[in-house]
Amino acid sequence: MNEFHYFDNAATTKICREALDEYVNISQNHMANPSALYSEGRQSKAILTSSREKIADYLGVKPSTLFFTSGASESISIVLSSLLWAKRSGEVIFSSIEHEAVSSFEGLLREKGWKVNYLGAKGGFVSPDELEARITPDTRLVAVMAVNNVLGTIQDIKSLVKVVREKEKEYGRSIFFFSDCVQALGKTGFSLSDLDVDGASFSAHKINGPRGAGLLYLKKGQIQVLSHAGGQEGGIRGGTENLPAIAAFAKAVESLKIWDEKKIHGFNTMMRLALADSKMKILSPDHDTSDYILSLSSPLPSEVAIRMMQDKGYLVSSGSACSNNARGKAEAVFRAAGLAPYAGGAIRVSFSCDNTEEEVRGLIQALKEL
Amino acid sequence: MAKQLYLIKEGEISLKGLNRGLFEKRLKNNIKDKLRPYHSTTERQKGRLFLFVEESCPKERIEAALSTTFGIVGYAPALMCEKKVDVIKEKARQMISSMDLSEAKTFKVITKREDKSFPVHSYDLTCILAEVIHEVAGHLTVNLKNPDVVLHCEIRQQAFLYTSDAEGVNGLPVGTAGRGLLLLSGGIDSPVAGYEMAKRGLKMDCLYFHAYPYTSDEALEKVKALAGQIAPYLNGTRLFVVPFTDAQLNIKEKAAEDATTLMFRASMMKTAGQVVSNEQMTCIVTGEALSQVASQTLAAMSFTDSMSDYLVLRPLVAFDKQEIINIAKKIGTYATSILPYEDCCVIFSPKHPITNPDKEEMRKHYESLAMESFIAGALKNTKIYSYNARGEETGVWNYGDRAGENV
Repeated sequence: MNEFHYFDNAATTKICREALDEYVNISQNHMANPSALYSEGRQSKAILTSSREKIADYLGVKPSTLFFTSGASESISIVLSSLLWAKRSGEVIFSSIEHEAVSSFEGLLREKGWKVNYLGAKGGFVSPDELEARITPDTRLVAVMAVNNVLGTIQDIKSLVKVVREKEKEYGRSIFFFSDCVQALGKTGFSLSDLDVDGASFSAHKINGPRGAGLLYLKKGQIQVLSHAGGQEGGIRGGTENLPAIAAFAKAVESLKIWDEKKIHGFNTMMRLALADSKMKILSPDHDTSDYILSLSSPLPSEVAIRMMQDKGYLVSSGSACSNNARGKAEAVFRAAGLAPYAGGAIRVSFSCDNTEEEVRGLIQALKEL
Repeated sequence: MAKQLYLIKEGEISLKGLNRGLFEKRLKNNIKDKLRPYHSTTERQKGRLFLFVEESCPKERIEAALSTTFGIVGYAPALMCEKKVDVIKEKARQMISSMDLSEAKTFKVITKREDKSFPVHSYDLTCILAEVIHEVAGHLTVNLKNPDVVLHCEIRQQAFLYTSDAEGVNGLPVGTAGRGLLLLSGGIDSPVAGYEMAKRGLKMDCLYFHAYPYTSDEALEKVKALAGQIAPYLNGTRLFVVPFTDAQLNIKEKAAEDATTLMFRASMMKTAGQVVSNEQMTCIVTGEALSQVASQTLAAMSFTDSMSDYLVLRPLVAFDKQEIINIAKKIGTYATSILPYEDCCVIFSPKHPITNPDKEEMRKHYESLAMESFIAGALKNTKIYSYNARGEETGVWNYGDRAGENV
């Protein structure tokens, strides 16, 4: 592959040295199945346990509330498909800026008699007032992501959860609050224990961990799943554990503690200042937004701009497709945020600690030349 | 060395008069080309072509070649023997015995006696061969209308026996009707247009206008795949990839918005005409169908036609979309054509294109765009990909400086 400067870290990140070493180490030295009864199996089990403990420690929750999965999409799927066990269908509320891993459940839920309602997200933010107005006695689940993957907006999960808890008291029944925290982990002043959500999802590869490892947090430590298979992960996610990836995930989380947030904030500010007077429009709000994600809009169709940027050596992500009939997936987010006219030209820049100031300067120059 | 024998039925060629030899020679060469590196020879006997292919050539290779070669109405693997009744019987016995007839229930024998000096009449020989089948496969009964198995026997200079005959693609051998340039877009229609013209014997190269980065490299890969897919029907082809971004940007900048599509069309005709001229071709082939889109109305087509110095053939002009899709599926291009990579970026597509242009006004408008230097530049940077008659990419080179001559 040619030399390139990578600014698509919200899509995936490069695995860090520590995580990769751990992956190789576990693959080579601890190949036994954690369920096996001989000592090598027990060693594997111990690694699994300590990985869970390390991550639980970082998130400030009990290890018994964390379940390893193949990634956030699977974690989400476990939670949303659990609704199918309900004897009587009810209502779910999704924010209108959810990732497809959440919103794609709409079809199945409707098919099974569920009502799916959406919360607006003016300016990229979901409002607790709107949630309060939308919840009905039939509401069983509310899903709002912690940090939006396109705009980077940080949702006020605490206030949203508070609304739900009050409604629970009013209706005398529980409402599951789920938050996809993929873009929040390690990238905002984020503490899971403070949020008081019922469920949350995470992915290792978004924080310089390996692909194929994710996490489901369940406050009560249980949920009804479609199949518990071999009973691994407390029956929440059956199937032989991906131990090398899980151990590497734990390493990546440990490395998060030393991430330099000031550096990323510097990059973000640099970009905003440099592009303020250009033909680029900054779409990401300047408050309550992750420094790691910066969405812009150029006058060119985003697909075209992405190719031009690639030719200059910069890998960034598109907001929408270059066509009338093939609508890009991110477009719904822009529409919800009131930024629909800019969707066609949207470009998402997302940083990691591997980026350098010089690279960012080059990126700014390349964007200006579009 | 043992050889595999195929009996090939010629269609329209056999109706040709004094120039029939030319058509037959081309057909023979087209078939032999496709079978290379395997060695093959042919022999002609009134309305039939007999193809002998070396034993090591896989059957699928031969059948792929014959099923995509225009000028063939039908073909079948055959056995050849001395025209003596006993020998024919023995060969028929061998042939029937080697077949899996567990599913078959009925049969029929068809005898053709091209050599009228053969002493046994067709009907009698049919009965003799039917008896052979009875002996070998007693469970089969005769059904003349809808048989499961048909044994053909043809008495010519030798006797020929065959059972399963497949339909060919008909038409005339590619290369007998001159050469043309097919405008290949990546959509459903243009590969079908190429197929239809090849059916009438036209030899074609393809040309694609690539507007990177406004169209993606995936779109180019798609067009390359399509060129490879139609190459067997075209008996090999070349794909000219013309970088057209600067030309399109010039049009977008200078042309009236609602006229941009027509201006693209006109400049594409001019560019294609240049290649036709350089390569000593005679015509341009497009996949246009009347009124399918704004640029394909009668008036719009009339305008683009007037911008070409060469004959423009539109074999699909009266086809319904569904008819085109059916052919695209038959020739195997459909699945590639519907891949989601656009052949033209939205920024070049006006919201309300002109559907009823005034020819003279449009011509003047085109002249004001001063496209000549853009076209020359595009041709200079054109790349050519070549495909053999099996559809494999065999090379790529620069069209280079000679392309810009005479602009």
